[in-house]
Amino acid sequence: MDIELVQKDAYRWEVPKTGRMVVPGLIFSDDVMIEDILRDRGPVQVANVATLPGILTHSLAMPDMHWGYGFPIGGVAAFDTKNGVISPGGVGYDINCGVRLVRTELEHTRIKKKLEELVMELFRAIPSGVGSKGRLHLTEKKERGVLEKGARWAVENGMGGEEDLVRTEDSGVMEGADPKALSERALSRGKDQLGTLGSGNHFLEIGVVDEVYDDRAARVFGLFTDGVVVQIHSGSRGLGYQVCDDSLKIMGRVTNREGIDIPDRQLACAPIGSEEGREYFSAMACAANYAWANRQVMLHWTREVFMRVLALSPVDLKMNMVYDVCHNIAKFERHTIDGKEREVCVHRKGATRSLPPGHPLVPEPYRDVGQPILIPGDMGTASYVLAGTENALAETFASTCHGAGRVLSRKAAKQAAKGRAIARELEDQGILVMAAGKNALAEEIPEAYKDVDRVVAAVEGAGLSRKVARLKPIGVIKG
Amino acid sequence: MGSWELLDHTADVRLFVRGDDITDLFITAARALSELLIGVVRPDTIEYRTIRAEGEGFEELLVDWLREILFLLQGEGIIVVEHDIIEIDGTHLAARCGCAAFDQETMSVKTDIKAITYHDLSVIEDDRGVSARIVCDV
Repeated sequence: MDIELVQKDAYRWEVPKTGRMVVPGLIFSDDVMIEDILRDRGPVQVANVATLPGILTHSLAMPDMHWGYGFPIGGVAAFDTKNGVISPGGVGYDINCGVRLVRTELEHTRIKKKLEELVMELFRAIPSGVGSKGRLHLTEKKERGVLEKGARWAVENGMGGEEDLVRTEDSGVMEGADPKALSERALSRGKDQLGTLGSGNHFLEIGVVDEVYDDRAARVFGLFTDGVVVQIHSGSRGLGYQVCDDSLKIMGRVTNREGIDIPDRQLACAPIGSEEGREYFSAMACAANYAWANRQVMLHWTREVFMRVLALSPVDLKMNMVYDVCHNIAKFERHTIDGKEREVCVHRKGATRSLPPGHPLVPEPYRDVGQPILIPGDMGTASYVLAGTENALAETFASTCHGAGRVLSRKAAKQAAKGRAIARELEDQGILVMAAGKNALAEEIPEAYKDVDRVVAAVEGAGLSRKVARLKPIGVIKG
Repeated sequence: MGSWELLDHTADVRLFVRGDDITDLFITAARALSELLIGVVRPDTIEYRTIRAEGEGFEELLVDWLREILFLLQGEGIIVVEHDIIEIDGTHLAARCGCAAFDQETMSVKTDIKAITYHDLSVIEDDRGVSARIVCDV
C-alpha cells in the first residue's frame, strides 16, 4: 500500500481515508522527522489501524512513531465500547512500560563526590539485565495481591507511602484486574521478577534539572534548577510479555470467528464486550498493576540507597514522587466526540496520557497546572517533563508522545559503536554508566534514537503538551 | 539441510530460514532460535523431553513451536540443544528435544529475544524447498 500524506499544517499530516479505512489517519511530526516516518513506512500501519471496527475520529500517531507489530509504536486509537474492538497489538508486549520520576531536595554539587558510589550501590540493589531475577520471590497469594492491587501492594508491604500513589497515574492500580485471566505461564514468569529493571532501553537514571521553562508548573511538581532527580523506566517484565503472547493466540481465532478482516495478523482483536475482549482487559490490567508495583518497589530501594550512601533521613532527602506514567496501555476513558461525552476504549502504544489543568483525573496537587508528562531521553540524552493541555484532550484523546523511537537497528548501532568506548564517551560528557549486558551500551548509543528535543518541540508546537523542565542524566544503570 | 540468516531491521530481529521440506524448515528455525539465544553450546548433561505445538496452518504452528522453545528458557531456565521432530502436520507438531539447564556460569544469553511475533510471518513452498520469515521482538 502506498500512502500519500496530506500536510495540514506545520505539525499535522493526514492519511486520507481510502479503501477499507473507517476513519482517516493523523500523524503529528515536523518536516524533518516525517522523512524518517515515511522511510519506515509507519503511515501504512496508521492506515491499517484505521480499518479496525469501531475506531473513532482518527488513527493517530505521535512524532516519535516508528514501525511496530500491528499498531505503530507511538500509535493512539480509540474505539466505541459497543461496536469497537480491543487489541493486544494496540497496547504492546510490554504492558504498562512506563516512567516514574522522583525529585529530591539535593543539588547536583551535593552528590558529585558520591555519584560513583550511588550508581554502584543502585546497580547492586536493583537487579537488571536479561532474565534477571529479583530479590522478591512471590508466593501465589502475594502475586495475586500484586496483580490486584498494583503499587498499593508495595505500599501495604512497607515499600512506600500513600503520597506515592496520589502522584501515580490511576493511583498505580487499574480496576478490573482478575488474576484468573492469566495463564500459568504468565503467573510463573511473574513470581521472581518483581523489583527488576529489565533490559534493552529500560534504565534507572540519576539526573539534574537542567532548564526550567515553566516556573510555576516546575514549582508545583517539586522541580528546581540543578535539583537531583531519579527516573525509572521499566514495565511488566516477562509476565506482561506472556499476557500479550497468550492473548494474540486467542485473538487470532476470535478475529476469524467474528469475520473481522485485518490487514495484519498482529492487529488481531476481539469485540470489547466479548468474553475474550473482557478476559484480555482483565489480564492486561493485571500486567499493568504488576508494572506499577514493580516501579514502586524499585523506588523504595532507590530511596534506601540514597539515604544510606548520603547518610540522610527521609525528611532531609525528600525523594518524593513527581509522577508515574504508562505508555503502553488500553483504558476506558470518557471523551467528548461531536459535542457528546461518551466512554471509549483508548489504546496507547508508545504514547502518554496528557490531561489539562482542571481535569478531575489530574492529582489534586497538580490540578491547576495539568498532568505531568514524563518523556525519557535515551542513554546520554536529555529527558523532559511536560504538562498536559486542552488541545490534547480535544484532538488526540488526551495523548502525546512517549520518548524517542529507534532509527538504527541493533546491528547498525553495534556497528556504529565498534571501536568506541561508549562508557568513556558518556563519562566525558559527565555521565556515569553501569550496564549489566555486554551489548547494552552499544545497542543503546544515542545515535540509535530520534532526537528527543525535536520530538518534544513537535508535540509542543502541535499543542499536545507544553514544556515544564529539561533533565540531564549524570548516572545511569542499564540492563 | 536447512540454513538461516538474519535480516537487519531497526527495532527487532528478523529471521529468514530455509529447509528442504517442512520438517527441515521447522528444525532449522528452532536451531536458529537456540543459536541466537545462547549460541552453540554442548552441555554435559542432556535430558530429553517432548515438546508439542499447535496452530491453524504451518505459519501459526511455526510461531507456536518457537514460542515453546523460548518459553523453556524464559520461564524455566531450560535450553534446547537438539531438535528432532517426530510428528508434524498443518495443525500439530511433536518433537523430541534434547534439553539442559541454562548454566549462568558457563552460558550467556546472546540475543535478548522477548517474543516471537506474527508480524510479516510467512511460510512459502517453492522449487528449492520451503522458506519462512519470522520476526522476533527484542
